[in-house]
Amino acid sequence: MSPEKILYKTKPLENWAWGKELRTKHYKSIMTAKDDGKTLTSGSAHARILAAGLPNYVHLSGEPFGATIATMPELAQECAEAAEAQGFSRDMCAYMRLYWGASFLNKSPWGKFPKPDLGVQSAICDSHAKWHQMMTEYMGIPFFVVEVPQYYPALAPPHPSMIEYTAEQFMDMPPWMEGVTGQKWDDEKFITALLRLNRIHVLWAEICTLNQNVPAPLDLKSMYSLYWPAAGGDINEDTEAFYRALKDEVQHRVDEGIAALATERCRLMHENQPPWYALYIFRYMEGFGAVTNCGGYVFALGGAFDLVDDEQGNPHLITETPVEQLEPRPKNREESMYLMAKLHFGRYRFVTSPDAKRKIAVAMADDWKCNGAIIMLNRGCEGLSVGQTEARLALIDAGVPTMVYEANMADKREWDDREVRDRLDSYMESLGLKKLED
Amino acid sequence: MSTTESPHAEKKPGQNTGLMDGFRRIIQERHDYAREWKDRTGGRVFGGMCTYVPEEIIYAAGILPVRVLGSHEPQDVSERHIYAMFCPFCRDVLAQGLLGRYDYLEGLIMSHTCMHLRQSFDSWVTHVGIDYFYYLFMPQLIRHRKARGYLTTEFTRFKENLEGWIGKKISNEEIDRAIEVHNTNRRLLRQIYELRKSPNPPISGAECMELVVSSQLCDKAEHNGMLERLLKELPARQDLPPAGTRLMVIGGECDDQEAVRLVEASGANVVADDLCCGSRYFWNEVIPGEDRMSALAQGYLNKPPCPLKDVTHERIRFKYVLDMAREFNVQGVLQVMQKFCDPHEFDIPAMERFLKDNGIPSYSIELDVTMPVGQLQTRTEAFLEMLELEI
Ligand code: SF4
Ligand code: SF4
Repeated sequence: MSPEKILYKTKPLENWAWGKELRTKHYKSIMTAKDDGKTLTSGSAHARILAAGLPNYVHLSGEPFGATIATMPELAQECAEAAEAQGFSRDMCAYMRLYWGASFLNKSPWGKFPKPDLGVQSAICDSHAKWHQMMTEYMGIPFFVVEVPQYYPALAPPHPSMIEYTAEQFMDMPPWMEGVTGQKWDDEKFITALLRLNRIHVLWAEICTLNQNVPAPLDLKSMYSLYWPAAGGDINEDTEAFYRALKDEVQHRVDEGIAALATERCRLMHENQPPWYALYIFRYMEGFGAVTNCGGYVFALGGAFDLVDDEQGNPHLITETPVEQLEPRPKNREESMYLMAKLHFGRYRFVTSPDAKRKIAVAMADDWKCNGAIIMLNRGCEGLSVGQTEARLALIDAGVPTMVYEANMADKREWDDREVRDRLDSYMESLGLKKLED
Repeated sequence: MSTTESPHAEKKPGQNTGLMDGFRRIIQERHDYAREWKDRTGGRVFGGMCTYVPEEIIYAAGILPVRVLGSHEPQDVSERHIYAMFCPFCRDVLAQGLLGRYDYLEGLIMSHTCMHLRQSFDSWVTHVGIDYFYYLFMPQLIRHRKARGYLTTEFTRFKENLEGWIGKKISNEEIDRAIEVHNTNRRLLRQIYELRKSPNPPISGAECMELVVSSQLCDKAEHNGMLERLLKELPARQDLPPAGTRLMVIGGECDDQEAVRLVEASGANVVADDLCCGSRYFWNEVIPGEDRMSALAQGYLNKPPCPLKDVTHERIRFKYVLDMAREFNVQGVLQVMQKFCDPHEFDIPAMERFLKDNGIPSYSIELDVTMPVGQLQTRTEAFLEMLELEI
């Protein structure tokens, strides 16, 4: 923990507005997709790459759409109730329920629900395929789904047969898309997008890694916005340029000792999604001089990380090398689909792997120099909740003081503000932190 | 109809004749059975965490595969490892391991179905400890043209890994015998299920569940002998289950014979099911082939799917349920699911609509580790009353 008296330099992020603009542009293009003659696809955020060979498309990423609604509690409640009225349980994936509810009500944060032309999904969490099976049936639109095998222990690389199986399923996609859209699949365009997305993921991982520095140049609350284009936004030059600029800016902050929180005394990890409607808890913690500087959710979904053990057997999260520096550019469709399968495993094999998540939590706490960890036991996401209770035990074993609180990332009805603040207060006290004077 | 008035409540079919005693004993004394089996044969026992575990490969290796199930008792040992929003079944299963009830297992095998059970598997391996463990991936896209090839590789890798562990090759003859023993079991169970098509089935739904659950807990060859005897004895059975409203029970990991008994005590005859511990476990035989692993793979892909193996617009599961409901002439369908079971929560509303569109009323009930008896009874009775009115 840093000595009490230090006051770091701090200033707002210069690229903040650019990030916001990317988001606004993206949702605007979704809302005007029909008028602009674009194919509107929908599925999970990570599945948006699947349609990248279409000449002109925009993808409604399910999870970020749900998260956006979650920041608007009234609309969120309406959507949740609409899904419940159709018989869906309250404990199911909360992003999904909000997405469903919005479509049942024909509403969105920007007007009507933007009805997609087709569903495209690669299933990593159990909810993925079922979410869009139900949704595309309801909307009466075609649905393409690929499954990605889960294995155990997930720390080892996937068996070649798993990559082959996934790639072979991907191979079916271009002809299927051509059939349902009447548009020609462009392999070159797809390969360019695939490599660009990989570079974007590497850039985001590099940015996250810069947060290992003391003081942390970024706080997690801001990262929940900054990671979005990498995790769910458009895969284009603008997005890549944004991350290059952001990386330069964050590097500059590190060089200059510019902190996210001037009064950084203590560094915390936050695991799992945040309660989107109550992001103020991060500011609340800052009142104690505690900056949250890392978390598996923003790291894993937007960043190309790998988990490796050092010679002593201690795990570390390291940024992957851009794939184009490791192997030749794919020359044809088959090679591009194999590469996509490989990257899928690299990126997502840890999401629902309890064994890996334990190690990731410990590695993160160590490498990001955390004084403690907070885990949100999330009633709204079974996928990311896999392994969280075990991660808590692993962190405690590693000597990291760990606090848990229960909430639902997108359903405010399950939020107990007082309970969470009380827990935070006791936790801060246990870390030896006091409320700072303004 | 109130429970006390029900003839079902007073008459407990099978108990008088002792017809079911052997099966019941296997369930109640499952751990003693496994230990005795080990003493008797000198063999090893593996636990399987899902009906998609290829038991034939384990059996061919001379190992007894048993299904790991919960005990339906309250427990407080799994909470540290599995968050309470995961289904009670997966927590109950892990609790059995943590409590040392399966301390005789040498191996634990999981075939991926859902993330809840994936967590139980991980926590078991980490905290209970086990000599041998293996995780298979069972495709969701069971009709995909590449699924068979992929699953064949999964099964082959498992077989080779197991061979490495036992220190010997598993021969084709051993695989063939295992397939034959398992197919015989499937055939016999199906013959018994066929009897339920009659207007007065000679066996109740709870008893049928006992047959299927016990089959997963003991040596199939032995179970086959018991089923053959039962098939001979059933036609002469005196204490037939009282006729009632013909119901089909569908849902998730329900091995809770008490729940089915209670439903029947309310005036129903459960004559068909689509349950993990029911028809889904054994319905289709493995068709032998030259490439044994490929034949087994196809056999497992042909199983009636659980919701997570039915993710396209084809809705294979729905068609299977409807066909069965019609074949067994059911009057209503009861959907039972474990609380927080996401896979089934997805299917329930759509299934309800689908059945309704096909003229079959249905009703959903949520189960926990311990059964809320009063609630279950009241709800079932309400559903049965509704069905009577419709009829
Ligand atoms: S990982 Fe969580 S948020 Fe994503 S689909 Fe699965 S349950 Fe929903
Ligand atoms: S009851 Fe449902 S959630 Fe639980 S293990 Fe079975 S399929 Fe998974």
